[in-house]
Amino acid sequence: MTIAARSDRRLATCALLALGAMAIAGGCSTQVDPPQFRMNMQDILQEAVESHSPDEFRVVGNEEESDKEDKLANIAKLETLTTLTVAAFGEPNEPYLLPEVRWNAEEKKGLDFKKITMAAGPTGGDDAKKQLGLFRQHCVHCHGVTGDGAGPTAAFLNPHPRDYRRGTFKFKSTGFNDKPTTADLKRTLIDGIPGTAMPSFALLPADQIEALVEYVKYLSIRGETERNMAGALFLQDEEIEAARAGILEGYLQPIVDQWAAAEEAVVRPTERPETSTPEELASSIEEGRKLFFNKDAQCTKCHGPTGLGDGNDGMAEKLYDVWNEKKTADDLARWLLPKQELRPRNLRMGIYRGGGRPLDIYRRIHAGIPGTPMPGAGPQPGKKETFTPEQIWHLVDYVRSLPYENASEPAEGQTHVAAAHSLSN
Amino acid sequence: MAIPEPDQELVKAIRAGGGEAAAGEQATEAAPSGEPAGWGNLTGKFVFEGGRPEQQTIDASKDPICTQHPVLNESIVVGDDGGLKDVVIYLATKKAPVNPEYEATADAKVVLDNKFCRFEPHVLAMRVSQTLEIHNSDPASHNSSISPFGDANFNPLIGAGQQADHQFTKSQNVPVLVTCNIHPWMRGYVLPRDNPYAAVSGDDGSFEIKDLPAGTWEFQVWQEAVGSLAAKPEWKKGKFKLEIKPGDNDLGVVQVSSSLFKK
Repeated sequence: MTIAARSDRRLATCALLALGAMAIAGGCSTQVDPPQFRMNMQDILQEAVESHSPDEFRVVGNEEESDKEDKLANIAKLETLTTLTVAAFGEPNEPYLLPEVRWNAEEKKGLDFKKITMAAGPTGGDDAKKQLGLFRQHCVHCHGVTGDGAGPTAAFLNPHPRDYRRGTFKFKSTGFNDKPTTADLKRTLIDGIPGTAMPSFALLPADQIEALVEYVKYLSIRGETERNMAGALFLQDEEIEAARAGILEGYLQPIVDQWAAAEEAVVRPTERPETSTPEELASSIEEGRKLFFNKDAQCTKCHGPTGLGDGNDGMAEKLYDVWNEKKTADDLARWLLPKQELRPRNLRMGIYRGGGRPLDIYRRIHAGIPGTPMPGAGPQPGKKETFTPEQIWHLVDYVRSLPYENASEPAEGQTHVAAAHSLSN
Repeated sequence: MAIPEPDQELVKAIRAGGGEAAAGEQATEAAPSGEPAGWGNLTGKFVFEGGRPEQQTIDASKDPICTQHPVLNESIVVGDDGGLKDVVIYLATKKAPVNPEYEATADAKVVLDNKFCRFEPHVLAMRVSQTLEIHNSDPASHNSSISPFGDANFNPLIGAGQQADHQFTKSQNVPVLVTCNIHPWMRGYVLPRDNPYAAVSGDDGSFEIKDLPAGTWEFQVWQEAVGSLAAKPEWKKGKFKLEIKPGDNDLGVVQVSSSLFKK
């Protein structure tokens, strides 16, 4: 079996670039291969093959016959994954979408291919001087060509840039397992994410913002399709032919449907207690404070008794998000980004990544923050609410008051730690 | 490592036919037709060799409700008589016939309880068609976070006495980790499968899978601390083939060497 090496070819290209002048002097061609999407080997190895070694995909020749068969089967699956993702999504310079998943105004679902072509490809302009290649102009440095959050600057950032390929987004107006709405992604682009390296792109014209949002969706759908197909091929042992036949209805369509459904899944809270007078607000904050230390809320276990985000400090088991939790020490040399510990939010900074409006904080508490340890306290499919909307509003008022509360002078002459413990017992 | 090039012909075919045309000859794995020659039970016992490892006590003082009972590391649990607990053994072969006896429990509830700041049971196997009921018998909230590969994630806050129901939609080939981040030492495992042929070894290391179809099948063995458990040299990646005869089949005592657990 001969396989042309996609990633090896890329490496060769890099080497050529580094030796640019020499290459020209030597008469080599300096033509650069177009960029390619990087296959999600991290997830495939960690989760699907349950191994951390790329040797599962490398036939060296001296292995036993049964092992060789396994490896060849693995390689055939990778080949299928590459072919299917290229068939359905194209390459970075030549994006593609199957007609069935392009924008359908009647059903209000699908991706707008025009916007995607505006954001894709190399940076430049068209004949009408319309800006093209927006993603590579503004986003690729951090989020990478593939949208895997592993661009050249990613390793220097904490938190690492979002890897879109799980289809998991933390800050959104919808329920725990719902996708974000178009408006949510737009808001992230326009406002940026305070406390992180994600800047505001408020100065871009509206059509460019929209094109970028559509392209982020495209990269996310591409990544999630690839990931789910990898799961089916490697975990559920789906036949290669079945995966090919099911690419549209089995993989692509369900994800596109989820994105469409998100628009109807916005959490719109009710029963907000009246807080228009200082007295009413103070009473709501007080209710919220009681809930914060309540053993049903358990806020302090991560955010700490004073809200400094130090509630898990000193524990042997650190907190991680889903993008980091499976990385091992052995992986460090292999994966592009090191394992990053997750710090629970310091609630006294007044910096809120998902937005500081009461409604934003309500949604964080109600639905939880997908991909992180933060659970949802509101009702979810299969689960009744842990807190009523009114109780969540009280928590919101307390959380919003925390930056202004004096941490060293807790109320009633009692430390919050002691208060937390007495309430827990 | 080398990532294969896409098959350009196939790319064209898929784009032309929206995927359908490219299916080629559908390799429909012939589902074994008719009734198997009979049904057999598989029993066996996993025994830990090389001294009983001590379970470390976890400092659970982060939450006062967790200090009432000792919390132990459960990644290797060996009973008094050497039995290795929580080994999962399951049918790896796909599309084996299922005994009709199992239909009655196809949509049963399977309970995973948060009790004394640990998961009870620590490891459980279930069918995708069944519902996982996560209970909380402790006097304070837990969260139960599950991220199965290619399936919906789940992370509800579960108050004292509350419960959360979860439906898996996909079979997994290794148990999925369940964590509670409020009490980050808490780890449990759930294996959702699309057939009922999975068992978890008990306190004495013994297990039983009932009513397997007669025939030769492949089994997978898994243990938390090592993953695929190659207890015998011929069990490559924890897999082995075995002929199930109608009636009782005994795998016997499987010695699990402590050297497998040293990394």
